[in-house]
Formats: sequence, structure tokens, C-alpha cells
Amino acid sequence: MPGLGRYICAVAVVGVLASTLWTPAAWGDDDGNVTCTDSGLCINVAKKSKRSTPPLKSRGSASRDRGADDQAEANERLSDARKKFSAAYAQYDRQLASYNRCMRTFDPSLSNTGCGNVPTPPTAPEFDSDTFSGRGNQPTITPGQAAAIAVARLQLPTIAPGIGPSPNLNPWDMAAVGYPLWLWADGATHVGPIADSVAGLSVSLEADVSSLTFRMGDGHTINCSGTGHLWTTAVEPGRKSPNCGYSYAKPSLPDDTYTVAAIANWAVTWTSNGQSGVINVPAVDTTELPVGELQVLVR
Amino acid sequence: MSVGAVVTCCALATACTPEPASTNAPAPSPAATTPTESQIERHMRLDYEAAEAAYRANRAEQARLYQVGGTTRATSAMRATATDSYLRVTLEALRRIKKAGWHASGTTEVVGLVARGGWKENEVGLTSCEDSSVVRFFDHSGKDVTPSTNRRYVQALKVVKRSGRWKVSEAITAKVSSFEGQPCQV
Repeated sequence: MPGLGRYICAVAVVGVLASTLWTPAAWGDDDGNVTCTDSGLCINVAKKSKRSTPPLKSRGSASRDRGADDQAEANERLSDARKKFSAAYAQYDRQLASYNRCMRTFDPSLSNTGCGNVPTPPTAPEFDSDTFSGRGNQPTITPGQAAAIAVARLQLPTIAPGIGPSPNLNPWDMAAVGYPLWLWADGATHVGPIADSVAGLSVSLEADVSSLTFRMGDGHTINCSGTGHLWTTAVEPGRKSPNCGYSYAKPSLPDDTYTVAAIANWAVTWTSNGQSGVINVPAVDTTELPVGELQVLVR
Repeated sequence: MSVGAVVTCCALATACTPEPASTNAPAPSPAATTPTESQIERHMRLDYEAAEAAYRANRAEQARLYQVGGTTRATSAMRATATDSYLRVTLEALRRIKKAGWHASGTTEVVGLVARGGWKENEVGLTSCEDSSVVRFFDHSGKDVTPSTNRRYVQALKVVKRSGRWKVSEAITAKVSSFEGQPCQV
């Protein structure tokens, strides 16, 4: 092995020595630095300010070549940026799907760990249109991706669980077992229209609460279409909600309260660049509800 | 001869150790050091091997594209292995082939490839001897339109590491009548 090593090394040394014997005159057809290709095309790759006419092409094509060079470079950068963004967006999309799944099945009475923070979307690549003229100057992200980023920026309001009649309206400060409670979305249920711009794409958004889910804290779940019905003192006592209500079978008192969670599904309609779609965004809020038993003494 | 062999020999003989090896050297790790190869020598060897692999992969992709009649856009394999002026020039040549409606037969032979031109963090120099004279070009009618120009090149290559990938960045060409005595000839 040492003999082989000496031989290889000697060859390398000879190579280095031979290279020092090269003179500028030996470099291709041009007096500058050229790169030649399999087809025999040689192009000067010296600094652009000293660009000379490349061999095998007409003088008139020099500016076209410069444009082609710039475009190729722009396309490459654009392509790299798109790839990076696509990878980051795919990861964000997975995280968001996982977060949304958790939110939709979240029951505070079973788990107090929550679903963590809302994932943050990646920053969309922004390019100067002057740099990216021509073929490479296309939107760097899809309208759907732009919409998802705009929706993440929207910060939709949480919906508090509306429960009536309120426990505060009776002397015992509690809801009663067996009494029909009305449930509704307590808060704004419509947002928009809102205009945003992501990576040069205009996005228009409009959000509505499309459905409500209540986790009642006793293990039961109530799904309501729409936003439920507001209970008022005008409601006849003991009357049931027309579309979103619940009656507890067991008390939480005297030791505890029920943690009631309202999971609102925001349906965000987006429009961008001639395309449109709907993105569903869950939002959760909770309230504590003491539930006790009312006993009537009959003589 | 492989680049790795040259690097290994250079590691044994300090006289031909490529230049700025010490300036950007990573912190030595005793676990990765062997009696015959230091951390920096290993780093250099791996860099040269990766650079050689990128160059050869690029050559293979170019050969494929010449044979299928060129291309107007850089393929992902080209972008993964080339950048800067090297990508621009090779792409321009392939564009012209496409525009002319030509295709190639045969593959450029890499007669030799050696580690030469220095090493520094994320950038290495290679010298290759390429013989493209065996590549024939044909137009759409099948007529042999191979250029008569000398297509034996000694290429001084700069290979750079960008975003974790080694890519051929630059090639300075010397046309030679033969590879006899050229630095990449073994």
C-alpha cells in the first residue's frame, strides 16, 4: 500500500506541475474564461462587463444569451424557493390536520392537556417582479396555499358556549338536573369579507360558523347544525330548544362543576386568482357549569 | 483514478495537501479520528467524493438530455447537481440542441478526474478530462451534423455545496489535441 500511495501521489504532483504550465493562450477559443459543452458550444463565463462575443453564435444573440442566463438563474432560484416552501407547507398542512383533528374531538372533561398551539404557516416566498420577468414570473404558491396562509392570519374569534337559562338566574346559582337547557354560539358568528394579499396573490375571505359541537362535561356530546338558538326570559319555562339543547341526567354538585366546551366550526370561504374553496377552522372555548338537583317537598 | 484516492494520498503527503485546509476546519472530534486519517482529512475526502459524485451525475444527465434531443428547461437532476454559470452554459447548449431539432448519439468520456484546485469549506476544485469527440449529432432527418470543432477538453471545475447539496458551479475549459501529459491524465 505505501508503494501505491507514493505512485498515486506522484501522479497528483505531476498533475499539479503540469497545470502550472498552462498559459492563457491555451484556454479555448476566447481570450477569457470559457466553458465548452459536448456540442462544441463554448460560452464566455468571464465577468459580464467584459463579456465578449462567444464563438459559434452571432453577435446579435449576446443580449438574448444574457437574458437567458438571467432567466435560467431566476428560474433556478424560483424553483428552489418553491421546493422549500412546498416542503414547509406540506409539513404545516400535516400539523394543521392533526391539530384540527384534536380540536374536533377535544373533550375537556376527559383530557386537560389541550391540543397545543395552532401551527404557524410557513412564510410564502416573495419575489420582485422586476427580477422575475417573463416565464419564471409566476405565482410562487397556489391560490389554495395563499388562502390557507390568509386564513391563519385571520385569527377568528372563539365562540363561548351559550347556555340558558343561566345558573345566575336562580337563587341556587346552578343548572338543574332534568331541566331543558338551550345551547347556542355566544359571540360573532360571521366575519368578513376581508381582503388579504399573500405572495402577490389577492385573497378574499368570508367566514361563518357552520356548526357547533358541545361537550357537556358529563361524557355526552351534542351536535348542532347552525349556531343554536339564544335563550331569553321570554321563553316559556321548561320549553326545549328547537334545535340545540340538552338536559343533564346527573348532578355535578356538590363536589364539582361540569366543564362545557363549545367547538365552533368556522367555514371560511376563500376566493383567489379565479379559484375558490372552503377551509374549515375549529375554535374551542369552555365554561364551567354547576349542575344540581332540585327537590320538591310535598306534604 | 478516483478523486478519493488522490485525496487519501494527499492526506499522507503534506507536500500536496490542498491549501486552506486549516482555516475553516471543523472542530476535531476524537471519536471520528483514526491514526491514518485526521478529522479534516476525512472531511476533505468526503467533500471530494461528494463533489465527484455530483459532477458524474451531472455528466450522466447531460448525456441523457443530449440523446433525447435537448431541453428548454433545467431538469431537476440538472438543478440538483449544477448551478451558476455551469448550469447556465450547459442548459444553453441543450436549448440550442432542442431548438435545432438535433439529438446525440454516444456519450462524452470522462478520461480522468482529479482533485485539483484546492479545498475549502463548501467548495472544492476538480479537474476533468472530457472527450466529447465521440459524441455524434444528428438532425431530425438523421443527417450527421456533428460539429467539426475540437471537442477534447480539460475542465477546471469549481464544485460548491449549496443547501447541503454539492453542485458544479463553474468550468473553465482548455481545448487540447490530446490528453497526453494533461493534469487529469493518469
